[in-house]
Amino acid sequence: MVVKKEVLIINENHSVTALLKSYLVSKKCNVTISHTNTEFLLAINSNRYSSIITDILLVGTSGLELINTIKNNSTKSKVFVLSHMDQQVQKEMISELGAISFLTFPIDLGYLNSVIE
Amino acid sequence: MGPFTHSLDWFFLVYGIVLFSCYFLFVFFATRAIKKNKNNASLLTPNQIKGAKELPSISLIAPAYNEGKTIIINVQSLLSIQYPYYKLIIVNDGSNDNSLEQLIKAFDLVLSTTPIKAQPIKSAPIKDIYTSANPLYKKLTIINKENGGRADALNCGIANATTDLVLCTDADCIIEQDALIKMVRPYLQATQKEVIATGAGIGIANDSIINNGTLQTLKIPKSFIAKVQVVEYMRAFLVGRMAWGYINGLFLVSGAFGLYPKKRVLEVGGFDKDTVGEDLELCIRLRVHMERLKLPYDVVYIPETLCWTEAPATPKVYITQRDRWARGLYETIKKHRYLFYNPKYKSSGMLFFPYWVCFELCAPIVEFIGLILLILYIILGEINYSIAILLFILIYFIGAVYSALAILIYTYNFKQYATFSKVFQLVLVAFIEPFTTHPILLYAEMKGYFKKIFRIKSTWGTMSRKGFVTNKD
Amino acid sequence: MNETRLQYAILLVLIVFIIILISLAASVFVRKKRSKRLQRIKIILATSIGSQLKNSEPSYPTKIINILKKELKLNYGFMAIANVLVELQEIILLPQTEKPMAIINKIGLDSKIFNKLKSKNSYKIALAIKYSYELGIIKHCEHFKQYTNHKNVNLRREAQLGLFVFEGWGGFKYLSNITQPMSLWQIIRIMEVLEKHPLPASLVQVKNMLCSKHSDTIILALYCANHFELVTLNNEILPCLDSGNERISKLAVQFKLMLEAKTRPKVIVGGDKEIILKTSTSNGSIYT
Repeated sequence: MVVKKEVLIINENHSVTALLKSYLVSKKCNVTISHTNTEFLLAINSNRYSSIITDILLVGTSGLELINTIKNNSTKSKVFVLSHMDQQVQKEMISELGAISFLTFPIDLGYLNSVIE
Repeated sequence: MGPFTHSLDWFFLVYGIVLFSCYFLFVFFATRAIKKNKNNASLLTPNQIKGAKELPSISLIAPAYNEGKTIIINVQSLLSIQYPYYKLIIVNDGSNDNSLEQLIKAFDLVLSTTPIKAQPIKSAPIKDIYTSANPLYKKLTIINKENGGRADALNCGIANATTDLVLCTDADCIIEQDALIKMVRPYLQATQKEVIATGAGIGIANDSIINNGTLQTLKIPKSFIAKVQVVEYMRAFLVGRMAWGYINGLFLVSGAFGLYPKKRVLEVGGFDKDTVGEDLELCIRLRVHMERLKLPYDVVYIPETLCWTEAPATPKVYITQRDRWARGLYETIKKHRYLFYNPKYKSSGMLFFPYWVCFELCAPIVEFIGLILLILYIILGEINYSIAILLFILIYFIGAVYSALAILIYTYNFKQYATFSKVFQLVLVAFIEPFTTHPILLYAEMKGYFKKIFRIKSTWGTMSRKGFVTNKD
Repeated sequence: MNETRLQYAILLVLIVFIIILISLAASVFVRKKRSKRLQRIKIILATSIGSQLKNSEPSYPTKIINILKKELKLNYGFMAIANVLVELQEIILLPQTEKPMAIINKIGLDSKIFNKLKSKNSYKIALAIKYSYELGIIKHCEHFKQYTNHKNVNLRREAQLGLFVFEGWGGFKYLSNITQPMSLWQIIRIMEVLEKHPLPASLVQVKNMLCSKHSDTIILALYCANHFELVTLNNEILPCLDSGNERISKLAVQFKLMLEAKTRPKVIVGGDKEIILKTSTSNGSIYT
């Protein structure tokens, strides 16, 4: 039996999560979605995700706090920040956070596939 | 009583009619302005701005005085504000608590290596400037200076900013994480007219759930006086400011949240330290400056609520705040009285300033005199009760409907407060307010004017804050 | 004064106010309901698109098509649906051939947008232009040209942008006789659009812009030269250093700095261009 990949998507925008989820499910992944801080804190506890795709913004928490929580709780995961802000300054700041890479809108499917694998 | 009181009656009638027609004109202008803003927003979406290069850079300047209890969480939240070219300057205005030590520890602060430059605007001496050793916080600068008051701290921050635009706010305000992206829109869209100030709606977050320095769930305040202020703010920001913005007559960009081009603020010498209404005063001075330079300019207001603050929840603190605002208004109008019917300053002098004098400054005075006169008439028995009661009902109703319109326009356009129970509560408040808190407001404003007229010394007045309810998960 | 008449007048005013309040309250809730429905449509459509992304020939269930058709018939329906499609397109980079053209044709959105292009309201035309170029309806392109110098700032921006989207660097030829001012946003967007197109062999059109009489077109060309590092334009740009216009000379100085940095042996490697640009503009306002 093939082990399904676990992916966590953190984003407030329901259409973003719906689109990504239906795509990733068709690619045989298990997808968990968090739209709010409460959902996120519940989801992050389990530390079972191979990849986490997160926004830098979430209602009820500040961006820095969010990324810190992810880093402290999920040591095994590859973390991707998905943001509209793709300026050089932003990329540098995100890379300072450690093993976090950057994913920008509109998402390139080829790239997404290669990183999830 | 004779012809004197008779003409006085006519004065009150005309004053009232003009004031109420202005109000309904405002509603008309405001709806147009909100629509225009929405149209602009649909053609220039926040997501597009987020990804754009070559945007003007922005510094957020937040003075902090003895805010040790919440400073770390607030700075965390301010640091996460979404804007590509963003810097945060916290000015520690000579706090005598441990806020600086806390900041140094939490953000790995080290003394800045760049020497302190000669200051383009005078302010109380700077002790030292800190930046963070942690690259994660490289947007952050902390200026530690001698105490000099809010205006002084803001000036110091502006003088040390290196960006195109400066956003002046308070360290204890909760700012929406995408506020700057929305605030910068007027600067991006400007063509011939230079934007000299942008403001946005301010909301009241008493009793709301705050988490990590951000607003998680908005609630209607429990205290009645704070509820009234929710309605008051909607009326002032959504109807008043938007309408003035529409006809380019804005004189006031709120001190709690205003975005200015640094260059222009430095040219006029920053905030005035000698007034308690420094936000109103700066905006008028910027307008006068641009009129003198003969350059076209614009002051823009954004209807969305982008900044949340804690409102006074007890009558005592409310009176102190409004007393201070009244004094600020009086001082500023007195300082700029040369504008009054001065054709040199075009519509600012001929139309907008006189409005401020007649209907902002004098309204409480007229109301006060009217009340005295009414009591006099009742004592003398010179009153036609049926007409008086009818007029009273009409005026009461017009006032309440004006507030209710503001609430409905707000909920029509924005999702905050857009549930049936919240709208109902607020409309109810709008109908009770004239009998309950309005007299308190009148008292506070008259108190402020009396202090100014009879030169009674008074300070800012302490704003005791309860502190927001922080939700710890 | 006739008292009863006064009483009636006051009563009438009160009733009018109450009617206004009630109708406004009703519209608040109608609007809320609609935005909820649109949100639902968006999610259904997103799920459907997402699950079919790996198929080369996407096909949409008739149920979704019917929902969209129904919504399109309503007031401002074209705007709602086009918005949904544009938003979804911004999430995932669809291959050019897979733009949701199929769905657009099927529900007749393109003809709805085309009708709006002929509207009298400049905001509606601007929206129609925006949706046309965002959704890649290339056949509307001809109609943009008449609006490039329109007095409405939003409309002329969208029209010019649309031309750049469809014609790439060729879009500059429509700017030669512009007299209306440009906003900073317009310049930023044109730059963004051009980034997606390859640099042309000849920069003659940018050169022409630099010789224009209109200061805003010179500014656009200068931004362009700085952004794409068009070092070959130095002969045309260096005279701008002495321009009377503060903004033009500032941009020319930036260009000179960039030129010097490029010719000097490289010490700082890549990625710093933006920082240099930022610091050199940070001393004053970069907008008019």
